[in-house]
Amino acid sequence: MKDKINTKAAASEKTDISTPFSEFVRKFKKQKSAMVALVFILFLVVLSFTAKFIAPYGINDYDYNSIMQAPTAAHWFGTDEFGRDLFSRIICGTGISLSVGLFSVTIAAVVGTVLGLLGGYYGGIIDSVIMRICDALFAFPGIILAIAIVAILGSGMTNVVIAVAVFNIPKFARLVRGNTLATKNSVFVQAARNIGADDFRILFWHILPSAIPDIIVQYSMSIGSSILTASSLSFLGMGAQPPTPEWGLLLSNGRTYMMNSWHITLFPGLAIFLTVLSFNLLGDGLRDALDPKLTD
Amino acid sequence: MMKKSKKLAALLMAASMAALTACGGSSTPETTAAAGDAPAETTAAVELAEGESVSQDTDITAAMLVDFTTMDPMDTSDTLSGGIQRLIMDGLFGFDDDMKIIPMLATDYEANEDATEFTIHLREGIQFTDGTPWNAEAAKANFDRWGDKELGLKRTTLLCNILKSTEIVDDYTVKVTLESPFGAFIPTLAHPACVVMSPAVIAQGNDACATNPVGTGQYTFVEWIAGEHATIALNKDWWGYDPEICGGTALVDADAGFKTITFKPVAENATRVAMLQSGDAQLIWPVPTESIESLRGDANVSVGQEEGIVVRYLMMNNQKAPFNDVRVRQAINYAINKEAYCAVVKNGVATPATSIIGPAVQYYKANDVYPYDIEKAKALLAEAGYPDGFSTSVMCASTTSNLKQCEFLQQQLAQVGIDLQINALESAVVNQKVQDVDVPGSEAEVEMYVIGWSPSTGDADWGIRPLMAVESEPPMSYNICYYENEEVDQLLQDALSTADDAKRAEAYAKVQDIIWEECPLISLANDANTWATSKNMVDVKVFPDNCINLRNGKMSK
Repeated sequence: MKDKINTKAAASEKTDISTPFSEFVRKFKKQKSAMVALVFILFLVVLSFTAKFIAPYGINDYDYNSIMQAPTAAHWFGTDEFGRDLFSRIICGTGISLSVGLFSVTIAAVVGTVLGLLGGYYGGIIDSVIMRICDALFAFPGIILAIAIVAILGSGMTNVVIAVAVFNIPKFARLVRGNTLATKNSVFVQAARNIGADDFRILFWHILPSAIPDIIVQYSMSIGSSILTASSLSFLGMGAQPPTPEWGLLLSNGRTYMMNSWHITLFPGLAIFLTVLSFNLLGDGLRDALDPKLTD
Repeated sequence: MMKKSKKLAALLMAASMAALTACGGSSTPETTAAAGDAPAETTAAVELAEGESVSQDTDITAAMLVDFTTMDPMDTSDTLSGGIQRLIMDGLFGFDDDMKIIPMLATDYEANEDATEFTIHLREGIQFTDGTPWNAEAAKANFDRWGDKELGLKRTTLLCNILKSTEIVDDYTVKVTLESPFGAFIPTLAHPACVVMSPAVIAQGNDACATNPVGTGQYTFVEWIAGEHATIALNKDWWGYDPEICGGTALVDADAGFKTITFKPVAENATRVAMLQSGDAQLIWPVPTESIESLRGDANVSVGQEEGIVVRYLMMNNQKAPFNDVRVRQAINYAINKEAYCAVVKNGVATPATSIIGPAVQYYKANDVYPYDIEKAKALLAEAGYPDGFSTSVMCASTTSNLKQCEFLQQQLAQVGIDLQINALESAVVNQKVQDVDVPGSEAEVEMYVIGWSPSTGDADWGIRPLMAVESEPPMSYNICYYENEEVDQLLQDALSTADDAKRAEAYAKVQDIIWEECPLISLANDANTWATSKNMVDVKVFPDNCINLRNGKMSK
């Protein structure tokens, strides 16, 4: 399978109807929960672009006459402490959470993959340095590390993205390094070396593709946990600042009124829960579909 | 939006008028519900029959918002620490429940015309809890500590520049000479920082004062484990129980007081409320405003509410454009709907402020609240050269209530085109950026700032001077507005250089009028103080400065 995904190797099998991709699609379709998750995520993506137009109220439209109202027909999720419509605020917050997850994990994946490739391929001192740094980063629980980074950089969404990216880097670095170690001595890599391919070509054209399935799985799993961490940071007052309708911040606001107005906490909490769950289910589904060891 | 706002304003006006009539303009704070709903039930209404109280055999737990900072009164700048110190130590003068000054360890005093010499007569027959007698010598030891410029503590400046010398006239009389006339001397002696410590502890130095306070008080100090709890135990020999020493009537009822009181810091609002409801705590302070309604509905809890003297301000840096233009400051005042502020930010547990100081503070003079008038605000801004508004920022410590407050201000100012950025920072960082800066106002980082202030002397001087006098600019004190008005400074000085009530009242009235007109800061609201106790506890209150008052507290079976 790993060899097959290599485009060159797969070329000879053009006649076969079962390409790696079609194989993957066939397997993935069987993962019912992952399919549902995928549909929900697509829905969220569409929502994050269209929220502004479909929200019934503006995110900062306050109405002091109707503060902390329970859900009604006019306000589906109720109103918050300033009488703002919670439904509008939550759907407008979708884009924030998704983009934080997406950006931070993309940065982490790119940096982590490069580091993993270098460490695994060259070994020696380079490998030791990279891996020891990763070990050090791993030693901290993710959220603590993120808090430390935000404390140094200052609060704000950009810094949250950086913080979340940093604590995701070692995950990718380790994963890719392991993969690189396994493939760097395989026959096709040696063949490539023998015909005179340079390190760059070997790393990115021959070794990296075999790690792609693992990276994809790690990527989708990390998005879920990154959204959660980013929300946690906002909850702790270190991320988004009011009046941004970031979900973690909404949750943090609602906490004060939990005893009397449950809806202010419930709905942002549900939004975070469903989104993170979807990304995790998607990740599970991808892993099952991409893992050659699991046969159906 | 306009229409809605008008409706709201009308509604709130009606509500607040009801509340105001309830107060009847009397200077005695009465128990009122600030938003004009059903009158709040306070513990004070319940009377215990003779012999019903079991409190002197009962241990109670009190859940507090924050931990104590120190046990040394001269190093205390927070109301809570002052509260526990008032229970352990008495001052020469103190406050009754309504914050009127009463003699405590002193019986009376005479002052000369210029307010530079005060002869203070001490109460006889009192001992510190370590056995040291209370007499002129003990008083001198305390005055000498308060006047020590080298003390280097947070409250050193309260008296160190004022006290010149203290003479022992006889065993129970001291004569205090001041450097310059200081009309607010007696109220300052009633400030919680000026409670009296045993000379034995003072002799041991500042560390002993901060960890092992010994006074003449109703309670003795047992232990304080920072972050965990502080415990005090009843002193049954306290002079306040003895009618003879008190000169006829005892200061408190014979059955008042609790066997021990354990104070626990519980920062989380909801946890504090849950502790009270579950019986883990018998007293919580403060009550989160959003929980008042649900606590009132709880049969095992009684909620108290009283008008206080804490005023909430929006400060502006008067040395920086655009706030150096009085029209801009007035425009901002017109643009903020104080009624809505009380209803939304304070959940109705506050009333719009009518002066820089609260109504219960001595020499208070009421002014009319700036009406909520967007058009006028816009016109003033246009006149000042900002027809489209401007961008600015407000700094605050990152607490839930501060954020809510700032968000509200952001919404209000957006209506006149002022784009307000909220700069919420960790409280230590805020202090560093706002308080610990020694530069002229025009170079200070702060543009706007939210702050609450209550003069614990109950006197106008400590309510205005630390916020408005030039000498109070950071890092000295809290004139974060960098307000510099020679006339105000002069009037504040004039008021201090006499002990004549009428003259002081006149000067302070003028100061309040000028400040109201010039708006160096915007007085938003007078907080109502709230506390809650378990149902069987009576006569537990807070002083108007929001300091807990357990003096006469009792508990029935």
